[in-house]
Amino acid sequence: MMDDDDCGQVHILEMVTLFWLFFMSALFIIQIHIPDSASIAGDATLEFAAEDAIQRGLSEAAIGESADNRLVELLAVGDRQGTCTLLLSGLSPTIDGECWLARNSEPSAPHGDGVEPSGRSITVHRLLQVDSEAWTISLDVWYRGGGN
Amino acid sequence: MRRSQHYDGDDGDMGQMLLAAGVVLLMSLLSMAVYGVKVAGLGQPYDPASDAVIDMSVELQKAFQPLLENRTNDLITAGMSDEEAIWTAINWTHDDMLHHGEIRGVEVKLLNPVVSQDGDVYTIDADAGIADRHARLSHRLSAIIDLSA
Repeated sequence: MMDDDDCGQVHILEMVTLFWLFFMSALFIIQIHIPDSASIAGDATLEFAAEDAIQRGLSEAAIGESADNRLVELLAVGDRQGTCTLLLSGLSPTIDGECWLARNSEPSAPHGDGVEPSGRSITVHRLLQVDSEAWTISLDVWYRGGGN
Repeated sequence: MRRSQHYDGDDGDMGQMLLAAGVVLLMSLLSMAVYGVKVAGLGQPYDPASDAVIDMSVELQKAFQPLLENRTNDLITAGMSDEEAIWTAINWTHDDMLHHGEIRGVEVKLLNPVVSQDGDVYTIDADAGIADRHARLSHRLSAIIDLSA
């Protein structure tokens, strides 16, 4: 036979067990959903995609002989639309982007056929010297459809 | 003493009860901790700009010499004296880097620029100070401009 103290212990044990059962049942029934934290891998993919797009522009051969690559060639003649089209075409099909350019101390402004970001976006910047000008290239990228 | 008088079973029963209580408590704490950890991790998004200071430093080192050289030559062609052209190019470059840093979320400054002259060859030294909320970096920048040609 158990005495009162032991019975008390058993009641405490029952209470704790019931609490845990209720807690888990409640989670199951009302579907408390705590989302996973933002994936580092997903964001890094976006960052690399934007960096690759800029690198691709720097690697593409120039049409004329005035510049080492197509990106610098377009910036040298001030073709901002063409520059941004080149950069945005370097993004993978699952990623959308918006291209911003600033020459020297100008305010940065969007160019090209980019659209407004949907969902989380990441911006990659690059300083590029072209002749006497310092260009700031900013490529804002996000997953098409806004998902992570 | 009291236990030996009133408790009918042996110590094994008490041990089993304590073990059961321990297991239940452990499971409760673990299941709650899982949610606690998930909630705590929600506010820490990945920051792609965390290496911006290093990237900025590399890009500035690449751009510093050609920017100063081309700007100085342009200004001399426009009619400025050599030294005036060099100092104007330094000031413009400083302003442009500051502006670039603002867009990028990094503070960029060219500090203590010094121009030394040896005939038609000018040497420009400056300290680049680059900082953001994660890191601070300072290094020496140097450019040599030969105006003899």
